[in-house]
Amino acid sequence: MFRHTLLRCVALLFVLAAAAPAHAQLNSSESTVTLTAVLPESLTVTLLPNTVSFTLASGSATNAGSATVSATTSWTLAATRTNVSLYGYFSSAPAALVHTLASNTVDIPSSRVEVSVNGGANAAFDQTVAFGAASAGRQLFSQALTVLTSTGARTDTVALNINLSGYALPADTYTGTLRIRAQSTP
Amino acid sequence: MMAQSKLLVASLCAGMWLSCATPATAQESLGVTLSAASVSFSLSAGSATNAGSLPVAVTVNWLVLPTRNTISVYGYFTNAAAALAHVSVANPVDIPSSRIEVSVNGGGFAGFNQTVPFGAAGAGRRVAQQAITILNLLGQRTDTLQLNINLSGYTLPADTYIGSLRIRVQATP
Repeated sequence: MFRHTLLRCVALLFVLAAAAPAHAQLNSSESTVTLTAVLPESLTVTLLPNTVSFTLASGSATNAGSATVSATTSWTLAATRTNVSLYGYFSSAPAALVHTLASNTVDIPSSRVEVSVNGGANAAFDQTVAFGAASAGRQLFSQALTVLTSTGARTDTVALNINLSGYALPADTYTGTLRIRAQSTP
Repeated sequence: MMAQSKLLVASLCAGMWLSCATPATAQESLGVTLSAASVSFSLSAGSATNAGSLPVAVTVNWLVLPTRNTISVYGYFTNAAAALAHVSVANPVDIPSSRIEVSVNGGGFAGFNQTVPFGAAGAGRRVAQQAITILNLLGQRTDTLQLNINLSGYTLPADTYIGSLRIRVQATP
């Protein structure tokens, strides 16, 4: 009788021992989801306002535009980019602003249109830049980029002036389009 | 002779118990299947909302012993600082796991910033938990995960970023 009981106990111990590992935590295998995120490059410029008028005084070096233009440049660029620049330009150097009257053959050249960026000195649109006609542009800013500034934005104030000093201009209305464009390199 | 017979019977009984008990341990199972193997994101710089292209349904199947009282589903990454790693060699910036958020069954979004039983420290989140009783030792549940990448206040160069979200289930104790 004692031996029988003893054997039962031993058997029970075996059962408990076999069942013991079930008390350890049980983990499933691992399932995975591949995540792919794409951040594309972008470079934009917005201008406010987008029209400027001038009341000209014959022969005057100072004919300021009616409003300053806020140029906001926003970018999201690859880490390989090291520079972002903003350019203003015209599509024609001798005729940045063209006459309206058919009898008038004189235009305002881009070199007579000046720009002051963020209150700096006036400078003419007489550079050859990445865009527009030769000698009809100007770099408005150039900013070095690092990884920390690969995404960013800046706003620059652009004040325009038409310098008519020493330049004979018939009375007329002259219209033209100043174009603004940003470029990131390399 | 009598004693030998009793020993034989006892051994057989023990053998039967063992043969019943041992498979009960082995038969515990815990499986997880996902409805999608990949999710893509079209990122917008600085935006808090960059939703994944599709939700992921996580289906968990279990058969456990009565000793279990909880089943937990975890999502995690192997690296908290670089859950999604850059592709461009020139780019040293990655997307940390804390910027990847999950909404479970339409709930609020929460980042993978917890330390869970799997994955790297601070790179996981428990996405579901199921109480186990004698009534649901065998069961199944499906939870829907919607992923988002929060780039608010985080400067990230334009690039492609790739990583793996891992899902694993654990029954305790």
